[in-house]
Amino acid sequence: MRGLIPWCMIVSLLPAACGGLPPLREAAYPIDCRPGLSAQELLKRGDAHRDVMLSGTPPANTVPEQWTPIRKIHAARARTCYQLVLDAKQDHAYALMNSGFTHLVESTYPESTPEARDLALVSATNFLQKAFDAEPLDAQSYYYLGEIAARRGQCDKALRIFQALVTSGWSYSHVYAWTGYCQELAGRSNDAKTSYQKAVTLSNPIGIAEWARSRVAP
Amino acid sequence: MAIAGLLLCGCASVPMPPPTTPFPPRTEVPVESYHFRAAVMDFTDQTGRAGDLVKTIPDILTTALFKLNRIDLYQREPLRGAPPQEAKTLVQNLMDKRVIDGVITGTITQLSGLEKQVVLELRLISRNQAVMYAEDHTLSFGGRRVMEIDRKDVFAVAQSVTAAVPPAKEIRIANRVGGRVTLERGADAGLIAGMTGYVQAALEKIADPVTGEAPKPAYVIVGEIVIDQVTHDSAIGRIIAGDDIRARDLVRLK
Repeated sequence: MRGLIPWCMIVSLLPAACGGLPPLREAAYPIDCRPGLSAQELLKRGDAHRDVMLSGTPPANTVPEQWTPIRKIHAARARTCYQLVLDAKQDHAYALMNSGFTHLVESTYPESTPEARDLALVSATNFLQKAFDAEPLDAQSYYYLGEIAARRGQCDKALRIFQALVTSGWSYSHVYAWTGYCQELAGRSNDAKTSYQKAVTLSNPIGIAEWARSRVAP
Repeated sequence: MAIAGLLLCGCASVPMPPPTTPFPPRTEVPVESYHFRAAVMDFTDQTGRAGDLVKTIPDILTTALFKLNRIDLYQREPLRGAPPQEAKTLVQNLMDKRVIDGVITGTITQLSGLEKQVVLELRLISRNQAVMYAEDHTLSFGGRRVMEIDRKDVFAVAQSVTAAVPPAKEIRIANRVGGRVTLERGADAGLIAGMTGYVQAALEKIADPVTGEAPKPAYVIVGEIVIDQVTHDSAIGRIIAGDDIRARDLVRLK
């Protein structure tokens, strides 16, 4: 019986719950980047917004349904900060890479439509390609181009990139995690397991190493 | 058909790894000199008869060290004739600002007018107060009204001091705990306490995806350390500049 009671009646003490969610107030997430700030400060603030948008855990006082919109606001704020850096120096590799990265993260939001994901990944590619051009042969920008390829289902291309990174000595857990993902997708379970285990062994960055551990755990 | 489609795109069966935050760029610190840089202070006179030798020997020594091109030198002018306490404060400020890595001090302990010789106790003290060199030297002098020191003797002193700062190889940082780092090599690689070195981080590059050409090594200077303790195969250094020093970075000793 209890299961039949509409959710909105249970939480009817919250006036907004039945009549749709309360509108998001962007003012609560002010644009804290403005012209005149140093590039260092702009990047710091951009990174802070980026880290919030990347976080999978909403703050305690957040309505769960509004978490993704809030993350999108932070994504926009982060991009504003990076753009101000790019206004002063259009080939700033770190600002370009992070602008691309915010689009990449947006493509992972569960509420995103396939079209929105594709669009986000195209934008991410544009920025990351510019970052790679600005800092030629930079391993990290190249890695993200590989990750985007994998996310778009182009695993052959992605695996070529990851292999080039490993050959050049850029050995981090995320390279192996994504290599494992592509191998698993291709049905190469044993190779995938080896890659995941390598990601776990490297444990850098730790977050993705934990994810890889969950893939090899019995 | 639907199952085949699912297997082809694979999207239903294999979860994607989560995004990983980009590593921040390495933070650079300014470089003062790639050579060990020392200031030569006026010497002290325990005999009471050395006169201007306390200033002229350091002047000649500075020139001799400069010619040997191993130790970089801080200009003598601000130190020449400065009262001892003032000179000491200036040297400490220079060390705090990482302008110099060490200081050369000397004391004239004996002067024989008959044998026309002075005995000089010379020391090279590093930034962390390690004594990198300490030795007595006997210098000859000539002249009747003014003592003129033998430049060859001073040059020999300069050679000895230079040998106390041997060139060392680049050494990798094994690990970092707080403000200290452990190096992978020690006395076996020519390290001695008091040496200083810049920490360089390699920029992570890939081989050219088109040509396959290996990348040229590129570095940024991310900090500076001074060697506090040395064993035969490892050393401990103290970070004196830079917050972004990590394991696997390379120390380029001065």
